[in-house]
Amino acid sequence: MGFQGTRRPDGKAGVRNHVLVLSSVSCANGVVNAIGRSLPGVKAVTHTEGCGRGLADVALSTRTLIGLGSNPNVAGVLLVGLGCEVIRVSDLAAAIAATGKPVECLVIQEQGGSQSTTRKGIEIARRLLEHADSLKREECGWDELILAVECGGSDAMSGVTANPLVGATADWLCGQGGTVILSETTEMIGTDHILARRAATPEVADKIKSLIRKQEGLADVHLGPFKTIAISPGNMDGGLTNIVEKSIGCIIKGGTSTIQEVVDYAEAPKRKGLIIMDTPGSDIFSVTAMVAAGAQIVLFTTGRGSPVGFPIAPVIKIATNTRLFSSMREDMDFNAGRILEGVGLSTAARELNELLTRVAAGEQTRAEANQQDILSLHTVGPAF
Amino acid sequence: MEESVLVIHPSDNVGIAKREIQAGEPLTGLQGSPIRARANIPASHKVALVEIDENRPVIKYGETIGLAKSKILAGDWVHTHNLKSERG
Repeated sequence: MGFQGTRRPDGKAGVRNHVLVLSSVSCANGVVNAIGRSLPGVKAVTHTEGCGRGLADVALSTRTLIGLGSNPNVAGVLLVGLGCEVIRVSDLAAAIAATGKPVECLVIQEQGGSQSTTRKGIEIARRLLEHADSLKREECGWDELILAVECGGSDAMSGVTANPLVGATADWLCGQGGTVILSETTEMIGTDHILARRAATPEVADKIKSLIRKQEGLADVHLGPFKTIAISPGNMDGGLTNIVEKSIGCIIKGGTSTIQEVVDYAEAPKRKGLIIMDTPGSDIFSVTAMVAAGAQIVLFTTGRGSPVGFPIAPVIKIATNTRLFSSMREDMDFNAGRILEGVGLSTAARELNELLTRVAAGEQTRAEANQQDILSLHTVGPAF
Repeated sequence: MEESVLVIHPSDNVGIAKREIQAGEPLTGLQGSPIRARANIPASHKVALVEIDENRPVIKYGETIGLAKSKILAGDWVHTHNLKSERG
């Protein structure tokens, strides 16, 4: 048994049928938002990038935008550009069109301005919505699912209840031939020896070690004395003695499967099984990268209460404690706090897998119902 | 009364207090010989399940998270005062 998904022309399986209206550059955001206001059925996605950045950031943003459009949850794409920006809609469109899904482009400077582009965009997006609505779901295998795991707004119980629970689901999915992406390099500091031991090959082990070393160096340079934020007084008050203990509580959400591959920010994995992706620990940058790499569903644990979702992938919010689950009930999908109240980890994992199956088949998550459509493109250099 | 301690991995030598545990209180939710808390253990903090000699590993998640600074007795609160890190 797998899940009810929608087959794309490239053979991949989506769990949603979104029409994505996407800016290639922030100058097009006004038009994208106007199209979104007229057609609430589309996912109108804006961002702050597309021009005025160094080469590394242009490459990073381009890869991320192409990845978002190519994600199997997206049935059709309308790209909106300005005309004089660095990241051109035509380049994005050509790459996304390789998936076989419908991709359309509008350039504001060629369409005669904001209002003309908006009118034309509404027309095109309406056609894309009709196409998306006509698609039927079919049985898809778990080996076709890429699951992103994330923690944000963590508390002392994150590493005790919700993260081990998500880890159990991650192990189950890898066992079914599926794929799990574990990200947040900052949160891996102190666990390089553990992750490297689980690597499929010595090359993967070396990549893991150098990745974590690089991130620790970055933390030294950019955070200085604030580097200790990685093991803050709040962590200590919660009973975490050192960064190794704190970081194991974070990486446990990826489960304990063999690590097959290390990929760059927003890079699509070539292998199945457990994948490590190099991203910041900041959760919105991290989720953006994993979905751009093809993840269809996100499992997101939170102890303090993060409401964030993502525009084109359902985000399942898992509370680490019952108090949070009750106090932010409208944002939470699952209560891992019951693990402290006598519910076994295996029982909770079975229930989470059932929820995952329902969400894959179309059941709305709380973040979807709340329209918590939040995305951030990561940058590494200055603006010019 | 609900069990007071959760053990994450079968090879762990520390458990996690599910709620605040008072000194002298018997630890529940464990297999083996009965243990009493030797100090107040705050919620979500670690409690030793067995005796751990000085410089021996403290194990949580089935992994070494550090070494005992001094001998730790079963029922002791385990934190920065008696657990040293192997790295900075």
